[in-house]
Order: sequence, then structure tokens, then C-alpha cells
Amino acid sequence: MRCDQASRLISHSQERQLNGAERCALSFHLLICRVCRKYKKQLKFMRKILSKLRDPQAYLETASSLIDERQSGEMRGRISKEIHEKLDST
Amino acid sequence: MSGKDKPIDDARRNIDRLVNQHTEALYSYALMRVGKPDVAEDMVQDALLAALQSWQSFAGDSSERTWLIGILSHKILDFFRRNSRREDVDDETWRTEYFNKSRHWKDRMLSWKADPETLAEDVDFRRVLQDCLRELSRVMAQAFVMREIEGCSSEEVCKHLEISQTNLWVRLHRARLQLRRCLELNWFS
Repeated sequence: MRCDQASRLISHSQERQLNGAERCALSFHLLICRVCRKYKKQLKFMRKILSKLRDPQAYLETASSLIDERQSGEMRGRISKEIHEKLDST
Repeated sequence: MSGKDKPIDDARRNIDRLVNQHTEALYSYALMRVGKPDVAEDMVQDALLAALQSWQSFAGDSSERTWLIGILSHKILDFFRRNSRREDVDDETWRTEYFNKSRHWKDRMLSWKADPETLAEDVDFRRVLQDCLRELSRVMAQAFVMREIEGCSSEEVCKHLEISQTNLWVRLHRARLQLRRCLELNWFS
């Protein structure tokens, strides 16, 4: 097995149960390939970080620091104007 | 007095308060998922409008923010479904992009020394992550966001986007390769 195939199986292992032959070939490749071992670790790392972003709470504190104040003031203005108009037309 | 008001008037009184209190949080929630600022803003607007139109149904047993995020999250998933590209994605170009002729990695692959829990709260990292997610093509991004951020099962993602499992696996594989490289270049090196 080469790294391109291994990378694919590492990704697939996050989606489905690998079959016996795949599992076997992948574990052997991982024994001898440091780079793919790192890749596997990093995918786990990414999954963990991304799952943290599921929770709405994660957006409370960072929200205001991610958008600058002027930008967000303008956006609030646009949104509230649009909403008023849409409610008026219904 | 308020009992005589039409529900719409009741809602109207809440517009500015809702917009002022929640826009930033809703926007950053949406932006992480849809990538494009204009799309994220539209989603927030749609969600707030829908919230106001169903104002009476807000039971008040959850927080207002949670209720709004719930509506927003539905709007985003609807958007994904409407924009789902059902065509098969090319399964071969990634090989030459990420692997050399002898089928080894082209990338260096560093050790990522960080604690994911802490990093997830780091504002600068969040900005980098957001930019990297935005770089993913739409075909990959929707599936990836549903699977990894929303935590939907493979089956749910396939059903929602009306794509096959094989197709989903290809999308996720390529999204992971690309996101990994982007994070490594822009954050970990």
C-alpha cells in the first residue's frame, strides 16, 4: 500500500468500518510510514476542533472579535431595514 | 393592550432588539458554515425574519438565542440542499495535487502541537479556520460542514444532499486533504 491509498482509507475509517483486508493493509502501512501516522493524528485533531464549533455557545464570545464594530453596525442596519420592509409587504 | 395587537405588531416591536442582540453571534455561526459573508448575512436575515413571523410559537422555555440558532441552522441546511451539486466529483486529481509519482506525500506534515480544546476558542485560529473552510469548493464544503461541524451521520448527509455514499467519501477525503494543508501552512508553520 502507498500513501495515497492509505490517506484515503484513513479518511474512510472515519466514515465506515473498513473490511479485514483494508484494515490489515492500513495497519501495516502505518507501522512503517511516519507521515501517514501524522496524517491520521491530524484528522482526529481536526475532527475534534470542528466538533467544538457545533455548539452555539462557541460563538458568543468570539463573535464580536471576529467582526469589526463598524461592519457589524452596518450589517445590523441593513438587516433591520430589510426585515421591516418584508414585514410591511406581507 | 398587547392582547389586542395583531401578532405581527407584537413581532415588529421586537425587530430592533432582536437584531441588535443577536446579529453578531448568528452571523459568526453562519459564516463558519457557509463561508461567504453575503450568504451568511442573508441567512441571518432569513432566520430573524422567520423568527419574527413565528413569534407566537416561541415558547420561552429555551433561551431566545438558542431558539434563533435553531431556526438559523435549518435555514443553512435548506440552503445546502438547494445548492447541492449532485454530479460526481472527479476522484483522481487529488492524487497529483497531494502525492508525487511514487505516491508518497508531497506535503511535509508537521507535528501539530496544540490542545484542540483551547485552540477552538482562539480567535485568531478561528479566523484562519474560517478562511480555510471558505477555500473549499462548495461541493466539498457542504458535505464537510454537515459531517464535521454539524455532526450529522454519513447517512444523513447523503440523504440531505442527495448524493451517494461513495460520492460523499470522495468529497470528505478531498476536503480533509485540503483543509489539513491549509491549516498547516497558515497556522502550524
